[in-house]
Amino acid sequence: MASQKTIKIRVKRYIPEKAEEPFYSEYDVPYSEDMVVLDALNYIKDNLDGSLSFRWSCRMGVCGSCSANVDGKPKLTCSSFLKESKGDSILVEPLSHFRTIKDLVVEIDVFVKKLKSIKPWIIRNEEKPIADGEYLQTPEQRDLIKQTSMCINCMLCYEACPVFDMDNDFIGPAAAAISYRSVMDSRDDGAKERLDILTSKHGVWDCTYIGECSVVCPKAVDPALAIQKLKAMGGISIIKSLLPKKK
Amino acid sequence: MDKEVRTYEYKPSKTWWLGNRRYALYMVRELSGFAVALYGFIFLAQLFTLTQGPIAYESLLRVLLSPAGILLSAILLVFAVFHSLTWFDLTAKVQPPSMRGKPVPRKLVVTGTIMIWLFISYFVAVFIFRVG
Repeated sequence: MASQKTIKIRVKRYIPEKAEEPFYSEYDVPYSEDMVVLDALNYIKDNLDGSLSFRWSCRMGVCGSCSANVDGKPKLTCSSFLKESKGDSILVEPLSHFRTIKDLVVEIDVFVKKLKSIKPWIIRNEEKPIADGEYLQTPEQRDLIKQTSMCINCMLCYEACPVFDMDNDFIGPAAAAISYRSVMDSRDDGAKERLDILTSKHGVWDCTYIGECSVVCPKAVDPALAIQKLKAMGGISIIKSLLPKKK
Repeated sequence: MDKEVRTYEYKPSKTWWLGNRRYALYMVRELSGFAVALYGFIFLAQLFTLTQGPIAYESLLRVLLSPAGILLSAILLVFAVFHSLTWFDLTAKVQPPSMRGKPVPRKLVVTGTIMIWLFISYFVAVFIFRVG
């Protein structure tokens, strides 16, 4: 009987109780064509090393929990097939632009704070009574926010953004894209409020348009474009605020 | 009381831009901005010396037409062309035009704008060399 084909998974580990610095662990994992990196990590956890820590949930590219660097590229481990690897081993590392808590688990508070700061909910000048039903949109109005609505908060765009790496206070791609979605939402009245936040210090002006955030996005969102559009909107909003107000 | 969690912070590397082709191209593009600025500065210097009379202008021209001056111009031209080409590419990304509600393919926008650029450049070149 032919022996089972295996693949080497090299994982960058960090165990604060064990070592001051990160180190690498290698595991031989049974290989099959339909396996993704997350399957390999789960195999390691279940069969080889129960101490390996990583986040995951949906296994279908929806929850955005399993982000990591796979062979040096920011990816969802649930969507990265082992067969895509060119070598005979795969390197899995944590997102390096966030502090590592343990192994592949990173501290996400910095992102959650940004998300909260841009108020990712519908802001209304006046709420209508629930009895009056939902706020409706036409298909054309929906199309304007469809792409940016696909963001799953996986933070891969932050991993691809050198500006965020240099300055963690930068609002960053996902928060800006989600904000753009809200600004363009026909049901929302908070555009001015949001643009004031986005055009303040550490806002969209810090983006130098490297564009890698849009390249790595697993949901084909284009945060780089959203940021440039917000810059234009923010600029117009600033000019308007400087003009004398109509009496 | 919550126990403080010890975390590890990866420090940004000084050579971060060498690990990815797109990062490297971005850095070259940003650097090429200096070449474009220097081009502009030389042009302004030419205009300034024109106001100072023919002797000042001729002496600047001698510097610019020396082998070192020509080499500098050639290097600046390469960077300026690179900056312009990538500018057209970026513009198509930042302001993607649409026709009848459908987005125009980016390649078409980039090729079209470069063709217009070359067309205008041709007439500018013809004008300069005929007048010159």
